This record gives sequence, C-alpha cells and structure tokens, in this order.
Amino acid sequence: MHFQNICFLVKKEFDTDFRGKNALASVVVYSLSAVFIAYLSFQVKRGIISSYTWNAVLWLIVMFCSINAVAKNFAQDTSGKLLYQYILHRPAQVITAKILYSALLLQFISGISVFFYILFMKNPIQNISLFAANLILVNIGLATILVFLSSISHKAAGGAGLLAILAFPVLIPVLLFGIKISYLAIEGVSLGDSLKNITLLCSIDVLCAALVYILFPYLWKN
Amino acid sequence: MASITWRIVSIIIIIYSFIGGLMFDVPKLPILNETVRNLYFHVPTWFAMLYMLGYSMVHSIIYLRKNNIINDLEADESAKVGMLFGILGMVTGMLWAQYTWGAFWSGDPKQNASAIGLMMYAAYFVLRNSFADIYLRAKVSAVYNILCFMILIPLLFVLPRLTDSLHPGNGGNPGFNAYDLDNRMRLIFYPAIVGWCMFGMWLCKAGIKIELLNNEYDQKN
Amino acid sequence: MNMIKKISIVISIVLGACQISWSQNVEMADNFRKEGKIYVVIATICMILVGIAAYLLWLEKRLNDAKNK
Repeated sequence: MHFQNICFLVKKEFDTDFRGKNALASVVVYSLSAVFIAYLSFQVKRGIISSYTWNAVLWLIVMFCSINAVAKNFAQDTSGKLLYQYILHRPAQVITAKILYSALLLQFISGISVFFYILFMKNPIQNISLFAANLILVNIGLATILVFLSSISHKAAGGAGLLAILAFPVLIPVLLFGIKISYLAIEGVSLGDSLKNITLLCSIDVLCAALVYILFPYLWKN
Repeated sequence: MASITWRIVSIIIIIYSFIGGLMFDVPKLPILNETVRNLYFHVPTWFAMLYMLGYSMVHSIIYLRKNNIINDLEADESAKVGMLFGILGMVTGMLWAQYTWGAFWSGDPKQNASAIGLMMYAAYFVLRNSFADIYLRAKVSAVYNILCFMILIPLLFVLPRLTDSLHPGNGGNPGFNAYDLDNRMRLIFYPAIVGWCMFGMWLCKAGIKIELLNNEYDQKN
Repeated sequence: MNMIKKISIVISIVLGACQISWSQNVEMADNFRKEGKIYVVIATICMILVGIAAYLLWLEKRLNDAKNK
C-alpha cells in the first residue's frame, strides 16, 4: 500500500516536471554549456590538464547542475498543491517520493554531464564500474540533501539563491568522498581496494537520509 | 544570586587558567616550544564552540517539541556565541599553525572541516534573516540547526581520523595523551574548558535578555 | 598628609630599585626569550580578548537599538 502510494507520487512528480517539454531541454542545455565553457577555458589540447583538474572541474559541473535541477523541481510546487498532498499523504511518503524522483533525475543529469564532458575533454577513467557506482551513490546523497534543503528554502521563500547558500556546506562531506573515490577510479584502483571509502560514502548517505526522515515531518506540518 | 555566582566562578576559572597556563611548567617539546601553552587558550575555544552549538541544537529539539519561542531565542543566541568561539579558534589556530606547521593554512582535514562548519552556521544565520514570521523562522531554522550539528560532528571527529592529519589524535598522529598531555597540563586544560563554556553561557544569556527586550516591544506594538 | 608621604616614599623606593636593576647590564628578553615562541601564546590570548570585546561591542549596539525603539 505504502509502496503503491510512493510510486504514485513519483509518477506525479515526473508528470509535473515533464509536462512542459522545455524542462528537460533546459537541464540538458545547462550541462552542455557548462561543459563547453570548461572546455573553452582550458583550451584543451588533449592530455594537457592533469587528472586532478579533470576530476575537480567535472564535480563542479555535476554539483551546479544538480542544484539547478532540484531547485527547479521545487519551484513548481505551489502552496495549493502542497496542501493537497498534505491532506492525502504522510510526510514520510512525500519525502521518499521526492527523493526517489530527484535521485533518478540527478542520475540522468550527471550521466549527460559526464557524457558531454568525456566527449570534449577525453576520458582518463580507468575503472569505469567504480566511477559509475560512485556517481550513483553521490547522486543519492545529493538528492537527499538537496530535496530537504529546497523544501527549507521553499518555506523561506528564498528561491534558488538561498538553496545554494544552505546546500554548499552541507553537501561537502558527500562531495569530498565522491571526489576522492572518483579520483581512485581515474587512477584505476580496484573496487575492493576502495571499499573503505565506498562504505563511508554509503554511511554518510544513510546518515543524511535518517536525518531527513526524522526532521521533514516537523517542516511539513503547519 | 545564583546567576551572579556562576558568572564570577567562570571568570575565576578563566583567570586561573591564564595564570596557570602562563606560569606552570609544561613539557619541553621540539618545534612546539612554549607554544604548547596554546593548549590552554586555543583548544578550549573549540570545546566552548562545540558546547554552545550542542546547547543550541538541544534547544532547537526542545523548540520542535514544545513550540516555545524562548527555546528559539536560546538556540539563536548560543549559535551566535558558538560562531564567535569558532572564529576565535580558527584565527588562533591559524597563528599557531604558522609557527609550528609552517603555514597559516595547510589544508589539514580538521582545519578544512571546521571552516566548513563555520560556513554551515553562517548559512544558518542567513536562513534566519530571510523570514518575516517569527514562528515559521523558529521552526525552519530549528530544523536546519539540527541538520547542521549532526553533519558537523562526523565532519570534525570521524573524517579527520580517516585521513592524514597534522592534528594530534588523527590519522597517523597519536593523541595528545600519548606523549604530552600529562597530569600537570590536565590540571589547567580541563578547568579552562569548563571556564570558557560557562563564559559562553554568560554571553548567551546577555544576548537573550536583549532579544527578550526586543520581543516585548514588538508585542506591545 | 601622612598617607601621601608614605605613598611617595614607597614609590621612590620602588623607582630606585627599578633604576638599579635597569642600570645593570642584564640579559633581558633577548631574542624574545630565546625563541621559545612565547609571543605566539601572547598573541593568541590577545586575539581571544579582542574577539570577546568585539562581541561585547556588538551586543551593546543591539542593546542600544532595542532601547531606542
């Protein structure tokens, strides 16, 4: 029953986001232009930038695209719609649905960003599976925190600017591990050797999710 | 009367830590030299910060349960004092680092983590300033405050231990206890922490009184 | 009157004592205590006091604002 409710809410989120065709297009254009600016500013003759730089710029792009995408998602929630959801569903279900949807959206966005990035700036990644696993885990963490913080900034009527201010410092623990593991993947370290870091990233994800589940109901009720 | 007593006790303890910290014997260590005495001045600021921020989080939790606006004021003011101690710890730590590690900022995980912590609480104050309704402000900022503190703790105490750090007790470095926090130092170090925490509470209570004055005025009009 | 006399005598004795010790060529605080880096500790204490003073000034400003409302 709960599961069905959550599926329904995820579908609802999906519908509202993709009702206008330009929602998807704007996200793609955002990441494409960010990658292209990075490419132009480095003037990449192949192999000139180090893998450290490659990694750092990639994560900056992924982070900004994610914040932009999630902020856009919440801006569409009018107070009327929220009130409607408030009557029909439990806060835990609503936040689960929102996090699931945002996690899927972020997988898609970061996938596109990485694709464009590799297209323009060549591909130094040696352990692709570790890189992909890392990307998925980081996106789950980002989605959890960003959804929660954008509901906070929605309450404050602060818009995307406030979301960025609130989110940057809180995202850093997740991003730190993401950047570290992604560097390991570039260096070609095996999945087993980076297990410690992966476990830590997972535990940060779990910590954030637990906090969000405990705190969101307080934010939800008026 | 009791309120005066603990304030005076806090000052007496701090004066004791100043006198003892500057005059008593300390272990003779290379590189650190006399700066080992900073243990009595720099380190207690961090403990005072954690105490004030923890106090702030506890009052945020109480606010979410009881919805009493006084708890929100407590949380706000103690977070401000915590921020003060955090900045002091950061600045004094940078100076100490310059003379012992060789640079004001050496990218030490604990240094980075505390900078992130200060950014989180700066964001908390930004968030507080973007509300018109004080009850909504109290609720939302209490939620953010709890999140901040819960993220700050692993950031300060778990992550630096997993990477190489210059701070004692992290990475490959042994803790202070192992070589130089002997009993003579404990005799001043622990009271100094207590004294600064109490002094922080004093500053916090003063701020609360001012805010109450403001609230009283707002309610009249 | 008597009091002032006593105090002036004490002061002159103290000053005289200082005079004697200053006039001797004693090694004092040379190389700032032989590079024990005690100045780092002094600077730390000063910073903490300055920080608290700044916080008190800010509190006072808030108090004035509350009073002037």
